[in-house]
Amino acid sequence: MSDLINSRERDFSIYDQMTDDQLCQILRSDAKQEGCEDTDMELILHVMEVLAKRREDRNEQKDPVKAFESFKQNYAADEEPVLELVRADTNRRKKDARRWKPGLVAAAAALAIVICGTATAGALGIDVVKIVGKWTQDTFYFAPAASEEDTKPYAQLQDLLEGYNITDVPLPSWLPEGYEVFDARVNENPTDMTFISSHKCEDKMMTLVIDESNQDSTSGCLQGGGLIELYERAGTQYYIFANNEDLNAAWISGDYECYIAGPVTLKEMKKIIDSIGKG
Amino acid sequence: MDARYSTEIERLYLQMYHLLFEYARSCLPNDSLAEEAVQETFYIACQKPESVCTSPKPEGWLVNTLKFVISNMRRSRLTADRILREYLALQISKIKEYDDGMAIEILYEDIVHLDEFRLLKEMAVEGKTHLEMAQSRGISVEACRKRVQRAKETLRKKLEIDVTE
Repeated sequence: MSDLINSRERDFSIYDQMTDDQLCQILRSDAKQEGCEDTDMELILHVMEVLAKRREDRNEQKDPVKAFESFKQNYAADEEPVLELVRADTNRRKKDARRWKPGLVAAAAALAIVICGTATAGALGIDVVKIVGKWTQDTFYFAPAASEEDTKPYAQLQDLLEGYNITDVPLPSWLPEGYEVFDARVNENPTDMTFISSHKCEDKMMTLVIDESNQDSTSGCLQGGGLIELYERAGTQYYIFANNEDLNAAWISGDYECYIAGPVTLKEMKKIIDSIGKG
Repeated sequence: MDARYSTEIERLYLQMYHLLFEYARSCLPNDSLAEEAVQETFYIACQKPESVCTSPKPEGWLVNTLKFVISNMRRSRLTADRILREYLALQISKIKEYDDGMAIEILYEDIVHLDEFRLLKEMAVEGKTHLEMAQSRGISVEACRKRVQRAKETLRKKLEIDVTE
């Protein structure tokens, strides 16, 4: 710990004079910041060290060795060792049943570009900021450790939905060739939940979002310019619109708003839509 | 896990445990929840060992991950609390419709013994950690997490059914 303190060139001595409450307030303020890039990590680490040293002087610190033993016993001791990487990797898929592992949101910015859009989505009244705001604040999502038998593109998302007893939202069973699942996550907010699944093909990304909808707001969100086609299939209307170089499709499935976005042609988007609920 | 990663993660754990605990404790209401946040952070680190071990600042990686874990813990408990209160308020309003004292007792007993209700109550009202709830039920932390998620959804659906009846 002292190595961390001594390695810094900045003078943090003023913080050494602060009370515990003042130092905790600094940490709480940092925790409230939405983006990690705004964190003054050197300062935060110093504050943490000061508080830890004071707790040590009061003989109130827990033995980290015992804490680590508890970690290994209670958190890392799953049916299998906690060894898998979060992202689906075709070379490392297990043959046993699918499992869900927690992971860290890594591609929030990329997804924001893909799914959010711009004036087109905004003109349609889609509350893009709301959607982006939800999952960019996501901190803890479940990504699949997929089995080799997974052939359906949204098998992991299906598992995730079933984990929440959501079984009445049909998903596409076809995506253009080359797309492999990147991650699947749920963002749980105080008022609703959002399920997001992404597929990647080289530098291209397809994203599917399933969002608990407020029916009152849904009716107003699909109006405006940018609409390419209103495609109807099996009694459901799919609004297909352009978003920069991507196509987006939006539709209502029961209590959920669904969106899919990606760099596909209109023909491919219709094929994706046609595959919903099949297989 | 690659042995290099497991060794490094253990080293980081022993180095950073107390610091991360202080950060979590400043944001969460008790020591147990703060410790759970730290444990969850390292659980994530074990899922992405290459990411944390090859980071130019592993300590910063852990702090940023902890921030997200704390935010998610708070959000999850707020959701549980909201569902619980809505469900309880709805049930209480139904109880008041009964004149029969025996019927009131039966209905109330049905609510408080509902496993989903008890699970969310322990989490949202009593502030228990996943570890504490898991140990009292003889299940793993992971299984407890899943039960909590399912409990929220079950009570949500019951709310919808009761409202529409």
